Amino acid sequence: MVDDIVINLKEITKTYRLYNSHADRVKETFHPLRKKYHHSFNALTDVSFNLKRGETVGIIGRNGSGKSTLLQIICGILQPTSGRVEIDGRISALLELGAGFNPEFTGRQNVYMNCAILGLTHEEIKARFDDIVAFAEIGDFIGQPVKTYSSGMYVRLAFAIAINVNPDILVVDEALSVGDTLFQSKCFAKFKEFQEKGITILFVTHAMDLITRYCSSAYLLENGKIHTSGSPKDVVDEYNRLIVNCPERISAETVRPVDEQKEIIRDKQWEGLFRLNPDMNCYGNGKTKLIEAGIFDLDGSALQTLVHGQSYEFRLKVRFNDTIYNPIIAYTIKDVKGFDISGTNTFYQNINTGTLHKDEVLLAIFKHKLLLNPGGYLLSLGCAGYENGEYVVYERKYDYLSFDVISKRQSVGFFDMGSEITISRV
Amino acid sequence: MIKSFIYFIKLIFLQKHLIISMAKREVVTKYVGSLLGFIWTFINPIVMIFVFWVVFSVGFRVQPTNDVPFVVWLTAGMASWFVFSDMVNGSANIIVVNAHLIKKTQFHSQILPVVIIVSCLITHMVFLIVLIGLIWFQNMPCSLYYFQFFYYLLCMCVLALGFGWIVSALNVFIRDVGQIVGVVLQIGFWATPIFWDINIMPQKVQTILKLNPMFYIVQGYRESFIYFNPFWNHPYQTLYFWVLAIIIFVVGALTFKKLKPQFADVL
Repeated sequence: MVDDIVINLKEITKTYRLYNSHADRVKETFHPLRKKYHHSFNALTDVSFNLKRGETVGIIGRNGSGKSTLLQIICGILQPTSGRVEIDGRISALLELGAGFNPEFTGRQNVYMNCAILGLTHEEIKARFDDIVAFAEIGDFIGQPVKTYSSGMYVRLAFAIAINVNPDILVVDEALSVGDTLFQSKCFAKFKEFQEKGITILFVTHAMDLITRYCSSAYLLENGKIHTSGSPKDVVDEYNRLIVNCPERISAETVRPVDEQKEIIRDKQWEGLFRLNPDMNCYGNGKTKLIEAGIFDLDGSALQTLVHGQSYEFRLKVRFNDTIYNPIIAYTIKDVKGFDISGTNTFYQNINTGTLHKDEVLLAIFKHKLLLNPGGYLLSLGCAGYENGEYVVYERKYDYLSFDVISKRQSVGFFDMGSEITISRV
Repeated sequence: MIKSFIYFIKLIFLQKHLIISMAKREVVTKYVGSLLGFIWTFINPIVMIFVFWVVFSVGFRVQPTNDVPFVVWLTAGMASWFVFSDMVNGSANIIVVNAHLIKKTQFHSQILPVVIIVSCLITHMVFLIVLIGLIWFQNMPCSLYYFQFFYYLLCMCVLALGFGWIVSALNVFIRDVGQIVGVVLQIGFWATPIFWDINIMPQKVQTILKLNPMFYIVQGYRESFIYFNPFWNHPYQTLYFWVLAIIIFVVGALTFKKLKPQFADVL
C-alpha cells in the first residue's frame, strides 16, 4: 500500500440479508448446519477506490444509491459483506447532526459527552472547549439544554465538535446544507484550512455546485455501483443526465455541432441531446407548438452544465398552427425553489417577429453571457401574443429543462456582477 | 481469536472515562428536570424499607430470624437482588435505546452494558448507606466485615455483565428478550431465598437452590453485614460460583462480539 493512501476500499460489497423476522436472523447466526433463512439485497456492489491524503472527494448519487451505506462502511459502523477496508488515521464522522446529543442536557454537557464518544480525553476536551463554542457561535446558550436550540444552533454545535477533534479524515453526510450561508462559508473556509493541512475530506451532498467548487474528484453511485468517477464537472454532468433518466449517454466530446441547414431545422434534430424534465408543466391554446429547445455554447455544442461567465445561447423552435401576428417568444429561469431569477421576451426587447402563417417554423436564439451563480436552475419557455388587445398564451412549457451552473468564483446571491476589485490606500 | 477477545475486554478499560460520564448521565437522566433531583435516589429506598419495617416488624410482628430483626435481614438480601435485577433489566434495552449512537457514530457498543452496571452501582451505594443506617438504628454491631461486600459486589458485576451482554445483544434481534428477562427476574426473586430463609427447606431442596448463583451473593451480603462470616468458609460454593460466572461472562462476551457487527443493520 502506498503511504499516501488513507482510505483504501477493495471490492466492497454490502449485502443486506432480508429476513422475514428478526428471529430468523438469530436462528441463522447460530444454526449448526448454516441453513439459510434470508434473501439478499445488494446495497453496494464491488465498490473500490483509493483516497490520497489531502484529497477532497465528493460522493453523489440518487436517493438509495448507497452513498450513506458507503460512508457508514468507511467509518466502520457497518461491516462490508465482502471486500476490504483499509483506513489510515482518525476519522471524524458527521453522519447525522447531533447523533450523540441528548436534548435534556446542556450544550456544555453534550460537547463533553460527544467528544468523549469521539475518543477524546477530558483534558483534550477542556483544551478545545473554547474553540468549539467560538466556532459554533452559540454564546451563552452553551449552558442551556440543547432542546431549546434552534436547528441552526444544533447543526453549528455538532459541526464545531466534528471539526475540532483533529481528525485525519473528515466524513460529512449531507450535513452542511442545514446551516445558513454565513455558517456554510465558515465551514468551507475550515475545509480549505483542512485541505492545506493535508486532511482528507469525504462528503456526500446533493448540492452540485459544492462538488465542483471544492472537490478534487468525485464519484457517482448508482444502484450501489460506482457509475462514474473522475473530475467533478464530468461526474456532475453524468449525474444530471441520470436524474432525468436519459438513456443515451452523450459526453462532451461526442456532441454534434448543430447543423443549421434550413431543410432539417423544421423538424426535431436535438433529440437526445438534452435531458428534458419529465414533469414539465405545459399549457396553452395550441396555436403554436414548441418543437424543441436547448442550450448551446458558441461552438454549437449542446450543454446542460454551464460555466459561469461564458456565453451561451438558448435556442427554441416554434411551429405555428395558425396565422399569428407578432407573437412573443419568452424564456424564464427559475431556481430549484421556484423563484424567478431572470427572463426576457421579444416584446420586452422590442423585436417584431412579424406575421407567421400556418406551418411556418420560427427559430429564436437568445444569446447572453451567463452571470448566474453556481447552482441548479430550470428553464421555462413560452409563446404568447396579443389578439384584439387581449393577452393570449399560445403555449407555455414551464421547467422544460434543468441546467447547472458551475464556477470558480464565489459570491453571494443569485448572480455575480463580475466585480473587479481594486484597492488603494488614500 | 483470543487476541480480538482480549481487545474486546480491554476496550472497557480504555474507555473508562466515557463509561463513567455516560453512567453519570444515565443516573442524572432519571431525575433531570425534577425538583429534588438526586435526592430521589435516597427517598425511594428509605420509603421502601420504612414500609417493610411497618408491615413486617410493626404489623405482622414477624419473629426475628436468628436474632436478627427481619427487616434488616430482608433489606440486606434484597439490596443485592435489586441491583442485580436493575443491571440485567437495564442492559436488555440499552442497545436499542442507544441505536442512534450505534448507527451514526463510531462506537464500541460493548461498553453500554458496563455503563448500566456502573450507573446501577451509584444508586446501589445509596441503598447500602440506607441499609447501614438501618443497622445502626437497630443497635446492631458493626465490623470490618462490612467491607467484604465489595468482594460479593465484584462477583455480582461479573455475573451481571455476562448476562447483560447476552440479553442486550439478543434483544436487538428479538425484542421479546426484554420481556422474558423481566419475567425470569420476577421468578428469580422468589426462587432465591430473599424473603424466606433457606433453612426452612429440606436438605435436598437446599442443595438444588444453592445452584442459583444469586444465592451465593444474597447469602454473601447477609454474611458481610449481619453474620460477619468470611467467604472462604464456603470454598465449594465459591469455586462453583466462579466457574459458573466465568462461563457466563465468556459466553456473554462471545455472543455480543458475534452479533455486534450486525447491530447497525437491524436497528
